[in-house]
Parts: sequence; structure tokens; C-alpha cells
Amino acid sequence: MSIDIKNLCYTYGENTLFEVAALKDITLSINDGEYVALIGHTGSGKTTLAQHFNGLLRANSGQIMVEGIDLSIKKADLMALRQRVGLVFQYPEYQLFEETVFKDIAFGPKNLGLSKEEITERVYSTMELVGLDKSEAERSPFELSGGQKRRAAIAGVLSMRPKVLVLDEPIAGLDPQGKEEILALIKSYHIQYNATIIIISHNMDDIARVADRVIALNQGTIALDGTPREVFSHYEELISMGLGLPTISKVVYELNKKGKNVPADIITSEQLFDYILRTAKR
Amino acid sequence: MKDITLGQYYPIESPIHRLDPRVKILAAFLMIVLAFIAGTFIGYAIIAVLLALITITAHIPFVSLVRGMKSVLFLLLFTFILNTFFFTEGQPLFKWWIFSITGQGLLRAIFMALRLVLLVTAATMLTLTTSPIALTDGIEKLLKPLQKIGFPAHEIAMMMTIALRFIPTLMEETDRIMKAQAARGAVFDRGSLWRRAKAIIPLLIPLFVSAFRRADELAQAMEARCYHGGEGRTRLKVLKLGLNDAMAVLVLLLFTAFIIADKIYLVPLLPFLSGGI
Repeated sequence: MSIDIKNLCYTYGENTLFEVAALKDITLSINDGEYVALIGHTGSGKTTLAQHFNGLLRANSGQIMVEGIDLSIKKADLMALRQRVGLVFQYPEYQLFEETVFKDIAFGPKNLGLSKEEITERVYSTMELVGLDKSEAERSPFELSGGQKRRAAIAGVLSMRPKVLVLDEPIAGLDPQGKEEILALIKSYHIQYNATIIIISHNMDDIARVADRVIALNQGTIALDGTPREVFSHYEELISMGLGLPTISKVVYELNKKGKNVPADIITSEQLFDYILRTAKR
Repeated sequence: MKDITLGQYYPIESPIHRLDPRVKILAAFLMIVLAFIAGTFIGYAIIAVLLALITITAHIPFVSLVRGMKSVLFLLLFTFILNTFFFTEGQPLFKWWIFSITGQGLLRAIFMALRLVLLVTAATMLTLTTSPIALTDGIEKLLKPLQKIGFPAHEIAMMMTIALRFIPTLMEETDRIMKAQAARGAVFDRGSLWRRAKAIIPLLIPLFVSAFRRADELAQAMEARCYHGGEGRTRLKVLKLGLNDAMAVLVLLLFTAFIIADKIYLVPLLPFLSGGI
């Protein structure tokens, strides 16, 4: 079990005027090597939940076990946790700070106290993984293009070789090609290191394509949890939560409204294509 | 960070919140001046009563005022101790080594502490009940006459508005960058002073980069909407003095009269109370 959460509650600004209950009684388990997508409307608690996975926020109540570390204990080993759980924030390129790309990617491994050789090896292999050319290593991260910056920043987290990789809207604000590149590098990290991936995104089409499991949060509670096919067939519920649907789901939804009888769990164009072929043959 | 009430706005509805910011700014100044004019416990009590009245009318919980006092506690203690030990006129009440405490010294220390408390409370009340935007609007209006001698009142007010508006944004940004770097194993709160100073670099550089980026974007957005300074600029909310403001001014003048009367008639009668200040 990669992550095991029982009855987690979290309130921002407890006992102040600005108290907001962000997470209410969350119970959730995520298996090793799962590719999970977290979806939810703005303010539904996705980012708050993500920050619990590596101890940046600590629950007010409830139990949380991440990669064998019990976070319910006040003195939990956060350093060991952060080595195992990598968190990529929204617009990660805004956290670049070093003089060179190499040094920036090396920041995490250095904090882990690794040897020089190990750090060098990790930086170059991570650069290769994210698709940055070796020649970029000595450039200033601020000179890179937008997409390259994003990849360099993600590399800064991947170089710590986390078993669990949490990404908060990693493809926001990128062009279609940049988006594909980021999704591809997440996929290759997922396969290469058998890592658990937790991705927060608003792009339902991409989620339908890449994730094994979708968890929908609504006002701090888990509203839906299942495979993309299961979750995205709950059209009305998703729409009432202020969420979108994958484009194909929308098509299927409209078709069914017109009296056609298309299975609701068709969510990608391939699946729809298959279905049409099969029904056409009959 | 959470305990800093000084300079924070308390967003609720109250008669005090609705007052014209100019009245509130001048009132705060007046109260600060009064705190220095007053020379008896009665005088301080009058100001305290006035501030308590304002606090109640503004629906501000007293707890938050006390909490705000925490941030100046050190200054308060420091002035108190300094005044107690280093004011050596008069008969000593207590003597030890080179230190001696005199009645007058003690009184002076108490007065000084009271003044500080009242001063901070008055300033805190101003910011608690006036939104930053209203505050800068008021300042701009009050400084307007100085424009005749070339003082850039509008520009200063605009700069203050922008600075105030970006405080929460930058705080949020700081929090996010701190978390992002902590996720990469950065440690901010442990180790020697040197290590901690060095640990700030991964926080400061991205913060500066983003502050400059934001400044640039804001400048362009303002330019795109034809901002060209204060000349001929009209306001969405025109400040207007109303009946409430007149009443507030009346109350203030009444209290001011009390304190001046107290100063003129009571202080000469009770030379000990004045503490020779």
C-alpha cells in the first residue's frame, strides 16, 4: 500500500476568523504503482490533499500512512518522507533559482546528502528522462523556453527518485505539444521506476487517456472514486460539481439524450471508434 | 505572522468602518497627539475610554487588540525598564548597586508605557477599521493641498495602494515557494545562523523573479488601459463627509476638550501626578 488515509480532516486557520474546513473525513487508499487522477472544482481541496501526501500540511485529525511512514505521529521523519514522495507544484518553473540547470536539478539530491558522483549521475539521467539536452546543463534556467523551464523544474523533483510522484496541474498553461511532452515524461517515469503517480488536472480528456483511477473531490469530501470509465459515466453528478467531461463523454451523453443507446462508459475516441465498428458490423 | 494585528484590516460592517477615511486618519493622529499632551492618569483614562468606545462601536473583539499588543511588547518592556532605572530625580524608593528607583521615575515609566499602548491602539484601530484602498484614498485627499508645491500626492497614494494590494499575493507566493523547496528537501528552520541564511536563497530568488514579473505585467496592464497618472482622473467612490462624520468629529472634539481641561486645571493642582514631564 502506497498511501493509506483514514478519516482525515483539515481546517485552514483553525480557531481564527478565517476558518475554512478544507478536507472533511477523507478515507482513501492508493496502491503501489497506481496512476491516479484527482479532479475537483476550485476550492474542492485537491491541492490541500496533495500537500498532505508529503507532510507539508499536517492533518488536524485522522490517520495517514504514506510509504510506510505514519504521519499521525507529530515527530514523523519528514526528510525520509520527502525523499519518497515528490511534489510538483503548479507552475513549478517559478521555483527555479540556481545559476545553472544542473545545479537546480541537483538541489534535491544534494539536500538528501548524496555523493557527488551519484548526484551527477542522477542529474544527467533525469535530464534525459525529461527530454532536456545535455548541452542545457550549464545554461541559466531563466534562459530556457517556457516548456523547457517546466521540464527542468519537474526534473528537480524527479532527481530525488520519489516512489510517489504528486503533480499539481503539471500541464496548465502549456501548448498542446508541451502538454504531450510532460504527459509522456510522467508516463515514462511511472513505468521506469514503477512509481505511484497522483496527478491533479482539469483536463478530462487527458485524464481519460492516462489514468488508471479517478478520484473526484467535492467540497472537501470524496464524491466519486473508480476507473475513468466508471467515474466519467456519472455525467450529471460531475456537472453538478462544476466539473467538465471528456469530449467523447459529452458526445455519448448527447447521443443518449437523443434516444441512442450508447454505453455511458465510453470516454475516449478509441473506445467510441471500437464501439461504432462493432455496432456497424451487426 | 498570524499575531500581527497592526496594519491588518478587519473586514466587517460597523459605523466606524463606514466613516470617511479622512476623518479616521485625522482622528488617529489627534489621539496620538493627545496621548502625548495628557499628563495625568485621568487624561489617559479619558483617551482609553474613547478608544474603548470606538472599539465597541466598530465591533472589534478586544482580544484581537490585545494580540496586536504582543508585537510591541518588547518595545514596551524596554522603555518601561529604561525609564524606571535611568530616571533618577527625586527621592529613591529603592536602591541596589548603581540602580535606584524613584517615585517620579516609576511614574514616568508608567506614563511612557501608557502612551505607547494608546498610540499603538489608535494606529491599530485605524487600520482595523479602514480598508487599505480607503486608507490610501484618504491619504491622497489629505495630501492634495501639497500638490501645489509639487508633491506627487497621487503617485505616492497609487504606489501605496499597489504595495498594499500585493502584500497578500506575495505572502501566498512565499508560502508556495517555501513549500515547493521544502518538498525538494530544503530546511528553513534548523541549523546554524549561516545555514539558515543560506537556506533563504532558494526562497528569495524565485520571489524576486516573480515580483519583477508581476510588476512588469501590472505596468503593461495599466498602460493598456491608458493610465497616465493622476491628472484629470475621476474616482469610482467619491469621498463625501456625512452626518456620521460630523458626529464623530463632535465626539472627538468633546474628548479633546476634556483632556485639555484636565491638562490645564488638574496638572497644576497635582504636581506629583504630572511626574514633572
